[in-house]
This record gives sequence, structure tokens and C-alpha cells, in this order.
Amino acid sequence: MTSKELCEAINVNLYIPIHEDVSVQLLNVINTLCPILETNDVHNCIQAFFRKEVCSLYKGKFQTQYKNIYGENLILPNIVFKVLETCQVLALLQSDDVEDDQKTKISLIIRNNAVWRKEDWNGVLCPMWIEKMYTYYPKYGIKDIAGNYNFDSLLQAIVPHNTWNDTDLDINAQKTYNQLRSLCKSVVREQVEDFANTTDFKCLLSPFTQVYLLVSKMVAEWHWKYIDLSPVKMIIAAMGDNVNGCKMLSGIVSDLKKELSGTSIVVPKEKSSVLLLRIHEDMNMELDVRKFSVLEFGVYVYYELLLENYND
Amino acid sequence: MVEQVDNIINKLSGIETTSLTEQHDSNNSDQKFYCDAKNQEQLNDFVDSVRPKLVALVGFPGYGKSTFIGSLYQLLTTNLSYGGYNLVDSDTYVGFERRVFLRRVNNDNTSDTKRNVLGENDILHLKLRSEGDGSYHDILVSDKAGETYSKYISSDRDTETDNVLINADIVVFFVDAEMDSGRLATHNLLVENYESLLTRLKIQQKLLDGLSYIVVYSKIDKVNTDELKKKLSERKKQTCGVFKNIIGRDPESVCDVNSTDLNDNHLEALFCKLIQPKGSYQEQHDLDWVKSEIEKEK
Repeated sequence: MTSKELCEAINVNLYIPIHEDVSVQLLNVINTLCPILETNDVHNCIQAFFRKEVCSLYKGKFQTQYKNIYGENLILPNIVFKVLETCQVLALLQSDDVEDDQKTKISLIIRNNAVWRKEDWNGVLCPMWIEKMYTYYPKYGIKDIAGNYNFDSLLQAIVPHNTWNDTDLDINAQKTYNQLRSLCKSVVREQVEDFANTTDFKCLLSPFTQVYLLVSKMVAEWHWKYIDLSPVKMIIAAMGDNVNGCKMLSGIVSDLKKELSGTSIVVPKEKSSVLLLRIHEDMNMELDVRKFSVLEFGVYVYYELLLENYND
Repeated sequence: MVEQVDNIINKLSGIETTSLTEQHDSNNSDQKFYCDAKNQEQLNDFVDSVRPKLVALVGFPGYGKSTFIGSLYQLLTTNLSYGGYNLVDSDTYVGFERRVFLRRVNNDNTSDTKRNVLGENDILHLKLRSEGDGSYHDILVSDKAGETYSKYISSDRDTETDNVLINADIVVFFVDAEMDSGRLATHNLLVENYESLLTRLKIQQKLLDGLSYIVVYSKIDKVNTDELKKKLSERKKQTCGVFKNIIGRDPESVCDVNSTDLNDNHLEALFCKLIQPKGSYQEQHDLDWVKSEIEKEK
């Protein structure tokens, strides 16, 4: 991120432009805020820019930081703060001061909050930056999974320890690792398909409840940490043509609540979620009238649950 | 009554120049009446998420700019729907009301104040809702006093301070049809004035390459004989040629309107052209990551 890019992103939204010198100052404040901001601040910024709002808490922190550095009060039109909060999130993802696991969480919060704009992307500022932000989950999330979970963890997760330890397998050979990894993927895929044939799954009337249960299992039980699961492929493999049905979110929530009420399935209640929080709480939101296909709903919920899992 | 109008105009005249950081605070300080028209220094305050479409009405004194915008406002407020849009709100109701009022007293010949006063705030705001898809559109219209453009011809300093034309999404040039038809024997003056104005604006880089513009022939009802209509038709080619030569491209359209006739279909057609929404981000960016992921895996 350069001050020139920031200047352009701001000025494209203004009739009377700011000078590049001002954008140098603004970017400096953004960079100095990177190590200070907490996850909650970042979440607020992300939610605000997807909801086309100004995050008042961030605005306050930005103004305070500006005054600390430059000794002056900063007054800018709200549209500029909307650009700044978006820029701040991208700067965090690009900053060397932020740990990789934090970047993974941020990239997941971005994906989860994008649901606010489902089918209504008009008026979202700095779309080029948002596009760039999406690339950080594969960059950090997947890397984090591959880096943190080694042979032993993978094999221990899939095969009981005492079983593989007594074999002649050369577990240090890359070829063997790749073969085992491929084998694990097949196992997980089979587990998913088998689950879709169980009575527990089949007895559910709504495909939205089915897909919720499916992605919950994927995240909670099926070793996503070791394998880069594609939720799209898994959901299609398990549910076939049932993934195409569409419903408004209010109807989906109503189906889920009805069917889950008699079961032991618990819906997590975390602020960083959007759909999970909606299922959990009895509140109306603007998203209620938006339609989701079973597959779309499943993918959104999968990544929300993934974030909850990271937070745990 | 006339005195009262003049008082209001006097109170409202005067443009204050402010810096970016000051302007947000000064929103109301140079506005003597709540919801009056705003000045060009306050344009940034209208930006929420999407920069509203900015329409600049350009023309010399008495060419019908304020009559046009006053009529449009009256049509939007007195009809539930106009051109497929509903008026939802405006931050400049008073600015509009004053223009409607001036148009009325002007028609009644009860006022010597025939137009906006030089230096008066010019930015008007409309929030419209499309009946088709329910989407909301903010439109800003700049309606400066005609004398402003007369001054632009003679003064570089005045032209330099214009922030509207360079930011306008579409510019509407008003031509007095009665004048251009030769009825008032001032056709040559009209062409000369526009030639000088456009040349100066071009030199000052206030007219961007690829500028969208419309030429509107107002007071078309005054061109009421076959002879005048024939003359106007011939002179239109010459007048529009001036626009094309200096701006470097053809106008989006050339329209005839009679803004005093609220039933004029051309008025509605012109309104629809002006409020046509700008392109959206959806066409240029792939922001729905779930959709992309599904398409990729499928």
C-alpha cells in the first residue's frame, strides 16, 4: 500500500480532492495503528466497510492517533473514514507486525462478513482492495494448516498411533507422505458420503438443516486441519442435486431452529459470525430477505465455523 | 413579496472557500437557511458510499436553467411517480422551493428578479427511488446564475475556481431556442458567447476528454411559425457544430423542451436521460467470493 494508492482511492470518491501530502500522513497513522489494534477493532472495521458504515470506534482511535503524531485535530468527511477503515484492514494483512495466525483470522472474518452484501455489491468502496483481501485466506490459512500440522499429527489423527508405528512405512519420505495425504482425503470424502446416508442426516426435513449439520461435522470431526477440504466439493458429494434449492434467510433460520430444537446440536454464538449469530438469536436483520441456495449457505457457515474453531 | 424574495436572495448570496478539513465543520455556517442549496465547496458532504451523479446545467442568463430544474422539482413533488422514479428526499428543499417560487413570480411578471443571483449557492440534491428495482439514486444538480458563465468568458480567475464542470458526470448546455431561431436577432451573439466560453473552459482543462453532454433547446414554444422552425433547424447545425468542434465529440442528444409546460413529454424524456444511473462496481470486480468458489469447484 502506497500513499499514492490511498490518495487515489480517497479522491475517486470525492469531488474536491485531498492532496497527496495528506494521504502520506493518513497512511502513516494507519501503519502506526497496525500493532495497536485488537481483533475486536479489526472485526468492527470489517463489518463497517461491508455494511457501508463508518466505524465510530475506529474513527475515534484514528483521530486520537493522528493528534498524537501531528498535534492537530483531524476532521474529514465520513466517506474518507470509510476508505481508511478498509485500507486499515488491508494494511494489517500486509503488515510484518501482525502474526500469520492473526492474518488467518482476519481473512476469515472478511470472508464471513462479505455476506452482508450478498447480491448487493453496489456502493461498496475500494472493491480492488476487497478482492485482494480475499486472497489472504489461501495465503495464510492454508499455509498455516500445512505448516503447523506435520506427519505425526496427520497420521495420529487418521490412523491410531500403535497401528502405524509398528509398520515398515518410511514416514519421512515425501512420496509416502503424499500417498498418505491422498489416502486421508479419500477417507474423509467417504466419511462425508457415509454420513449423508445415515438416518440422523436423512431424517432431517430441510436441506438447509442437513447442510448445517454436514459442515458442522466437517469442521468439528473430519480433520480439516490436515487436509485442505473444499467445502463446495464435499457438500455436492454428500447432497447431490439437493444443493440447488433456494430460500430466504428468515425461512432457513426458522427451519433450522425447528429441527435443531430437539437435538443436542449447539449453534455457536460468537460476535465474529453473521449467520450463526442470526440462527442463535431471535432478531430480524436486513439479510433476512436475501435468498441463499443450500450450497451457498453451507459454504458461508463452513467458514464461520472454521473461524470459531480458530478462535477456540 | 418581491422585497421578501430579494431579501432571501441577498442573505443567500456569497461563496465561502474552505479547506477540506474545515468544510465539514462549516456545513451550516454559510448556509443561512436549513436545506438551502449548497456551494461547490460542500460537494464532498453529499458523498455517502457512492459519489452521486453530478449534472451541471450551463447557460447564459435567461436561458431557462432554473425554470427547467424548478419544473422538474414541481413534477416530482406533485406526482407520485415521474419518469419511473419517486422523490424520496432532498437535502436542498429550500433551494428548490425558491426556484419554483421565482419561476412563478417571473411568469406573473410580478418580480424584476428573473433569475438566480450571481454567487448564490448552486448545488441541489435529489434522492430518488426507482420504481423498477427499488434502488435509490442520489442526484446533484448544479444550477449557477447565468451571469457566472458570462463572467467565465472574461475572467480566467473565475473559470479556475469552478469545481463543478470538471467533476460533472454530464453537462447540459442550454440554448435559448427563441434566440437561436433568429427571432430576437441575437443568434450570432449566442454562438459567439458559447464559442468563447467553451474555448476558455477547454484551455482551463475544465472540460474533460470524453465529456458526456446534452444540448437543450429551451423555450421551444416561442419558435411557433414554420419560418422560425426552419431557421432554427438550420442554425442548430451551426450551433451544435460549435459544441462538437470544441468539445471534440457529438452530444449525447439534442433536445427541445418547453419547461413551463409541465405536460411536455420532452421534459420527462430529458429527466430520464439525466438520472440514468452510472455504472456499478459489480461489472468490474469479482467481490462475491462464495459464488466464485462455487463456480471454480463446480
